[in-house]
Amino acid sequence: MPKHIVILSTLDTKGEEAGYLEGLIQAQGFKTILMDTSIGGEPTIRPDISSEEVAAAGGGNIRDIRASRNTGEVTPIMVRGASLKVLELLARGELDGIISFGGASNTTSATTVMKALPFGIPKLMVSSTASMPAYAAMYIGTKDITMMHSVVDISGLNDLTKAVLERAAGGICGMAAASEGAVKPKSTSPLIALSTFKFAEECGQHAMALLEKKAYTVIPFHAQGMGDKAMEELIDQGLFQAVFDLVPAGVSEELLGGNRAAGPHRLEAAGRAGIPQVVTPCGFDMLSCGPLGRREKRDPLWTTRELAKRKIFIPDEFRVQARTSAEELRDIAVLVAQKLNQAKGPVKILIPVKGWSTLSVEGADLYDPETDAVFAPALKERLRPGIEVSELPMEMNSAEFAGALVGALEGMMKESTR
Amino acid sequence: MTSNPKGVLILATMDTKGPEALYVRSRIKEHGGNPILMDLSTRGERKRSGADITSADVARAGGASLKQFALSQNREHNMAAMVCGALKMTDRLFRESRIQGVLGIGGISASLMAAEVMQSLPFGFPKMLVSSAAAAPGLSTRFLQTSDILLFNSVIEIAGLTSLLRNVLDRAVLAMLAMLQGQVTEPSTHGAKAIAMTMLSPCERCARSVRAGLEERGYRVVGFHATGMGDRAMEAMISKGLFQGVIDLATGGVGENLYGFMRDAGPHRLESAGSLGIPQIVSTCGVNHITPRKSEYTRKLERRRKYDLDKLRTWIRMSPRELKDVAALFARKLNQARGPVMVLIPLRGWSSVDSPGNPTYDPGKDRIFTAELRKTIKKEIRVVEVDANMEDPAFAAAVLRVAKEMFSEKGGCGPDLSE
Repeated sequence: MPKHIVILSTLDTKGEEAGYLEGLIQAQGFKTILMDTSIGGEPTIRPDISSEEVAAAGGGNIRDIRASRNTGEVTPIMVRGASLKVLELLARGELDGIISFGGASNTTSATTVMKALPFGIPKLMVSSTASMPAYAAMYIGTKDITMMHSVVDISGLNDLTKAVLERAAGGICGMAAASEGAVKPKSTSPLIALSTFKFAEECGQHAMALLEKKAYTVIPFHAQGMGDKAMEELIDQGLFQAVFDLVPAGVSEELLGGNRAAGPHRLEAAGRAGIPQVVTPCGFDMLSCGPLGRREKRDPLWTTRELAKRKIFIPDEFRVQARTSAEELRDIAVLVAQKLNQAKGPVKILIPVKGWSTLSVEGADLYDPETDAVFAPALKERLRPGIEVSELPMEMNSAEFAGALVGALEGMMKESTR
Repeated sequence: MTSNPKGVLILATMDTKGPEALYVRSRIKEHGGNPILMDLSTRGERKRSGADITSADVARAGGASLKQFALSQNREHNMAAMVCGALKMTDRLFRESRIQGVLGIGGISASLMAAEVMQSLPFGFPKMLVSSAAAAPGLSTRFLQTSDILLFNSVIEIAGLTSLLRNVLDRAVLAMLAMLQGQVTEPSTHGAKAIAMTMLSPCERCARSVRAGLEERGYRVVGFHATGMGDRAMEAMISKGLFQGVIDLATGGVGENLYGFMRDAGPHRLESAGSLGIPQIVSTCGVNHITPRKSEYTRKLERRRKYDLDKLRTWIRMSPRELKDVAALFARKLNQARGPVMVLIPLRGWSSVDSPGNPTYDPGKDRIFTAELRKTIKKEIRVVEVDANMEDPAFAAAVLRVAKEMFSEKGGCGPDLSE
């Protein structure tokens, strides 16, 4: 059975280019489904799914949409409609890859549609605005989207735009050929999600080695905001049997306004799924507040929290970490307790008293045991019964602490399968 | 001439991503490709890392050694030396036609290094970067710059050959190999009258008419999105001699560079066509607005007139002072031009954003720019006002009339528009 590739395009202005891409993909032996998401007017080539259908699926009417001058209002209707249409196609087994191309508006819309699709489904966005500051990050979000920077605008067919579309066609066809659809968990080796970052690297490595020795498969996520947010989403997708949350700092960064903020729903998915989770306070000892230029610019984060007066770790201009205060730790404890209290599955919290990260052990830049000491009591006070907090006289990045974490998780996993 | 069809250069740091890089290499081989694995690790190498080009080789090519790296605490410096070596070795592989594509994998540091190597390769040469840091704000831009790279977000860390990671790497490998086969147009512009044109969505209608009009006359028009990066890329491609003329509709990147805002197109915007001496038609879409990041808004900026382009982009009206400064900068740059230049300025708003009735429409203030430009620009350059909005058909028609004249064989400094 041939595989299907969906092409999203605005066929009122990009018909010629979309038609060219369609031909290239068909030439490689794939079936194409051309979906028209334009709001301007009639398509210049025939789509397989018309803008009328897309608008209707989104709860709108193409005639009103075309008449409207408010693109901010009508675009979401088309995005909603296209998202529902692609999910329909996926459910019918008629979507093995998705591709789109365009400038700022198209990229925003098309990547929003792509985000509706699960991990493992190839998604390729050819964009002339991919390289704008922070845009690619926004377009990609937490998804396995490939951004291809077209450099030139895909408008008109010339040798440069053709070269881009030909490679894009190759890219999506190759990915679709490799793909087996949405990734599903395999029962042979239980999957464990693990959050980690630079300042917990050794602990993460020890833990991974220990877990893998016990035949678990560990999937690490970079806890820089997006990575751990993606972890939450894949937990929701049902991929994992347990969560090893070494670095839940996405919660504190969100609360305090730091760079690693992971959105309002971090630390919730595992509890919702009812799977076992171990949690440490690693990353609550610092606030990511770079680049350093913000200090001179009197950035609100720096002034309201008076970061300039604190202990600061500056490895380079971008990755600046300020020490968190006792008051902040109390606030973090309240929020963490609130979230974990909702958990339907078992939870254990382990605190390495001799330093929560490489930055807060004795002699390190953010070392402050008195402040650290505020956290555990505040947390215990708020946690519901049944959630155990253990304070261990160890450093975060020690083999013994990693061992304790693995022991705690294994205990819970055995309990829960019994 | 390809002596090594499907030669794929793999860039990775073997000290941290050894098994993953070897997996990529073996998958490429299985599918009939010819991989060459280059090790970019700075923190020493494992014995027999298995790389085809070892990190010691790369460091040596960069004028350093692994021993030096081990002694130095300056990681950035070490990385720079490594990149320098990798650039040299990649250039050689490229010139000897031993590689037809490049595939990098890594976290933050390896992605930064691999991206720099990719950026050195020409437009049209397949480049793919599988990165766990693809969605880190601030980094994605540094990865892509002005290069036609495919940036693949791995979502999960590239550590451990789990089924999820293999799924990602398999997709990347097959995508890379598929890009190497089948028909690929040589992205050259030889033998055609190729024109570079900047545009933005607020001058899209104008750009479309100008393109259609020029194509009718046998020109090929290559568009660049003037987002700060697209127009920067255009300058680089102009310098390589790819174009016979430039229609620079959206020149806001000049002022944005002066103030360091979102559409900043670097310090050399609006200079390449002039230094090459090819004819250029310059207009002003977006020049009278600034686009700072929301986090940079001061109370003063909050009070200015604004227009929300979409949920990501807000255009703020420039102050008279800024208009004057930017006009002077335009003049300084254009005065250096060795070829013909003509400036066309619409009298009823410079884009669809500041079209009549919209909050930032202010043709009176726009003329501050025009007056200052006329005062400081050299005599040979004509500054012509057109009584229309940028998006009106009349303005596109004026651009076309000028283009027809300036891009013709005999060149010239523009037709008489004083009809």
